[in-house]
Amino acid sequence: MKNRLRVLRAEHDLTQAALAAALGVSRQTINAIEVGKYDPSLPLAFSIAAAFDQKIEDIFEPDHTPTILITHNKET
Amino acid sequence: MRPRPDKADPSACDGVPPADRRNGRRLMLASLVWAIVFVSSTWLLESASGPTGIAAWVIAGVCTALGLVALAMFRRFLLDADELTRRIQLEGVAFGFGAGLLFSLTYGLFNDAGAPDVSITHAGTVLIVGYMAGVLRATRQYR
Repeated sequence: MKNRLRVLRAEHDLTQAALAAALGVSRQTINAIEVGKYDPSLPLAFSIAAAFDQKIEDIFEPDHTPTILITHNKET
Repeated sequence: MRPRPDKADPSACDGVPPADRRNGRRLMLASLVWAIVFVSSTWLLESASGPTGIAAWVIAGVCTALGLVALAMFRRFLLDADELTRRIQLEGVAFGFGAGLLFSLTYGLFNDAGAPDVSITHAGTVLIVGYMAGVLRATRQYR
């Protein structure tokens, strides 16, 4: 999963350690997310998005777009 | 950005959450105490002039109780840990468990083929070494 975390962190002039402390995770976690080696859990992704006042999809971008579309069946 | 990191927070220096550091210290202390008591108990109970009867049972029980304390500390460490730390520990535990299980189940084949007899405690050693290797590998993987 691609992400803009490094860019956002730079824009806010934050170190990895400072962001990690603000989010309650380790600096290694922030680094692993930034380099794309680790995908954060949903709660952490929400925390990151809230911290930068953005939507999750504005920060994280899936590698593969889901191809299954679930439609609402009006008859049931 | 909404939350402001506390610049005076020492955790900002090394990037390790305070809970992880605190729980890690407790785990290391409990593990060290257990390891010392385990080695001492083994030496005492296996020595020719060592305690027997109820005293031997008490020593074995105390060693087991301290092991349970260390286990509880490890559980607390995992439950409170940062999510990447938890993932790394999971990979370490999985690798260690697999290595220990593989050793204990398959060494018999080598034993039948002529390899020397080994104590059951060697499976524990393989498990611990496997766990450490798994943690090391995962830590490097996510670096």
